[in-house]
Amino acid sequence: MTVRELAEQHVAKLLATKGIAVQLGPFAVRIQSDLGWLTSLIYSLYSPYPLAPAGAFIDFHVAVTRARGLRRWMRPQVQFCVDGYSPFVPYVAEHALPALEWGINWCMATRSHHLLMLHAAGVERNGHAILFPAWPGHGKSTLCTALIHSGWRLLSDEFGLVRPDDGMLVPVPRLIPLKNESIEVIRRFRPDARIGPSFLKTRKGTVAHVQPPEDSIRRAQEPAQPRWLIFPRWVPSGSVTLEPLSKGQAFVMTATNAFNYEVLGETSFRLVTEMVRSSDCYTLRYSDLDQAIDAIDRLTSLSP
Amino acid sequence: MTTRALETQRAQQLLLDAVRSPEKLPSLSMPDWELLVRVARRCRLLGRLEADLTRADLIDRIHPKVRDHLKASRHVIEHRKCLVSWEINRIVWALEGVDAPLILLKGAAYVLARLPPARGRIFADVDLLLPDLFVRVIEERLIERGWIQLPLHPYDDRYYRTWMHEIPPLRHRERGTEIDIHHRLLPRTSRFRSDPAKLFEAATPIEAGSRISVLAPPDMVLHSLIHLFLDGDPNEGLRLRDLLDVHDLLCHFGQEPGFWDVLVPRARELGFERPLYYGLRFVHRIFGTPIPAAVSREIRDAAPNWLIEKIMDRLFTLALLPEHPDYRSRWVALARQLVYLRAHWLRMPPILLARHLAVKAYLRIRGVRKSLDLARLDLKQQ
Amino acid sequence: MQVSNDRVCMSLSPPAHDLVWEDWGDIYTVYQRSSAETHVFNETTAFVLNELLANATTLNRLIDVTMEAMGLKESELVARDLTWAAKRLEELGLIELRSEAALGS
Repeated sequence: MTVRELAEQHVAKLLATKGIAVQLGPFAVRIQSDLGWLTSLIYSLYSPYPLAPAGAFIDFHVAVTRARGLRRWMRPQVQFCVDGYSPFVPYVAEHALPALEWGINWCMATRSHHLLMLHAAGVERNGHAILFPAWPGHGKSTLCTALIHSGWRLLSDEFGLVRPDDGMLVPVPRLIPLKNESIEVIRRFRPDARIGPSFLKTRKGTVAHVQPPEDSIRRAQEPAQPRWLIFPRWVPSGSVTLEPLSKGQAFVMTATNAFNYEVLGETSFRLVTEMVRSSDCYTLRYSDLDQAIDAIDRLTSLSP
Repeated sequence: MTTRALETQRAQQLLLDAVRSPEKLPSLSMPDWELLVRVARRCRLLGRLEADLTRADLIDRIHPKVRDHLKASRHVIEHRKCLVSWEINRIVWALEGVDAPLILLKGAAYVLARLPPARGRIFADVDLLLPDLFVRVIEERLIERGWIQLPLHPYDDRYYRTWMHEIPPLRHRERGTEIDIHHRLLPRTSRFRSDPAKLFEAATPIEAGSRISVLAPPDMVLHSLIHLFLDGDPNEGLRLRDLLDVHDLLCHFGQEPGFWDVLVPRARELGFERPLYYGLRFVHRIFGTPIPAAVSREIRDAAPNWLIEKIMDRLFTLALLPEHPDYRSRWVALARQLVYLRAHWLRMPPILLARHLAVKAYLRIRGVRKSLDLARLDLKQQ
Repeated sequence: MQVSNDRVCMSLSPPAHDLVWEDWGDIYTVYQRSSAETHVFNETTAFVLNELLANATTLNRLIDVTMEAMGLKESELVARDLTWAAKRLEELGLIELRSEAALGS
């Protein structure tokens, strides 16, 4: 059952009371909030997401609520809480949704050490996955968003979750946050992409969230085999180049890009080694999204 | 009883039962597991549950989703242990030729001496005890060999050096582990006047021929009590897991002949009778630690007066036991603050305390940030 | 270096016997179990560790052997590189350096 199959009023009531449990990839997340404008946003953007099965083990219990303190009278603030605690700075009330999304990121990053967490976007087609490990600001979210609106399934835009037992990628198809100019770029690229409202002047600039195509959300329980490692870099001008990268370099760049590489010790070392050995590694420089997607399509249809 | 009270009691009972009888965990219901994981995580005892289940060969009987959380905590703990052990290896290398006694304290000691508190427990820093006259040369040698001093506000730096029992923490420029160097267990300003020389006399090497030592068993127990009651945190007050360390040490050393006979006399000798009194009282109450009747009788005269004891009972219980994550209580928050204040009061006289708290409050307002900014946070883990 | 390289004896430390190597052709990635660190070693460093695996040696002899094996000519450059590599490996806990006088920095 998905969120949209419940009436909006019912969802609002649940959010304000015991919360609503949503399945985000492998994680069952219980969300609570009594903020009216946030609940309707959640209803709209989370509409195709499945509810966690009844009786499921909830991994994260999160809430976005009004912040206490004197400042609430001057400029309303909200805070993100997990398990009733909020060691986080509060946000202005308008940024409640970004706060929720960043907060869930934090929960994943601090609690999911049963998996290797690469800092990478991932997409899949025909049973094979591309991972895009990158530093923030190199355009991986924009590229990822464009790809998933061009026939690729979204695995993740931020967390490349690798299962230690078999090296498979675990999908976690969440809302994709786009920043600043990327928002307009995607609107032009795919006018029918479902993009939420823009939040101005957040600590990361202007942010808007893309709802992934429903197919990506429906297939969130299907892991994928990594096949290509592509390191993207957006440049202001120039034609697209896709060049093979030495595997040693690919290992170093992937390992240093992981959220918890050190924590898993030797397991990380072996996992990343195996992934690099069994994947084709490239750097991608592009200024035009269509060209980038064409190049990727050609590359991935060539290889068996 | 209100729902809040019932649920809180349920949460506390779940956790204490889990710690006391891990063999019953495979039969726990899913809702109970969900609450237990949240509460255990908050008390930093999740790893302990995992370690107990693994040791009893029961981990595979736990539901996979729960097991993921347990495994995650195991990975973090194992990694930390490796980092702590390695840091000590490097410290020994760096201090080659410096002929000072090196005593490991707290977590580092538990890990290297393979003591029960190390089981399923996170230790972030390395705590070393050295004689006062060696501190300078060791600090210099470590800096020479790659460690750096963490940048501190000048007030904090002076506070550490002049009044506290530590120098500001050091960290190797490439690794993340912090080293805290102590030259006494308690600040010079503390109400407990205690002479570190006695601790050095009784310390024993970790193994034959080792460069590093640990405190003698009764001293280790007493230090863990001092740490429990005096190294507080305004949010956590007293840490339940610190009390569990005490329980583990007492159960372990309690089996050694002569341990119970020397514990109370040693506490008197070092001036730590009151913490021992409270410690034994709570560890028995909460974890059911077996304490010989003779020892209970012996420590009885270190008890406070009846009224204070009643107040402390209430305060410490509120501060130690976990809350239900969905039913947070202002009373508990207050109790924790009070316990934290008390800890500071024990560490320094009132005038100094007032000035210290005032300066810290000023520093906080000026933006010495304590909260995490989710938007700017680097989510990479050390 | 302030001291004769003949007096600097190098040997592998116990953690160096517990490394996981991966050869990528241009570099080696190495996992050190004792410290949970991952290193990136070049050909020279790998060569040094391999030599020491066989037996302990002095820095001077190591310089000679390395020059010969890698076909290098500039002995001063090699000496500087190897000295730096030796200090680095010692700092990482992979080799032990023993000398009768203090090592220059």
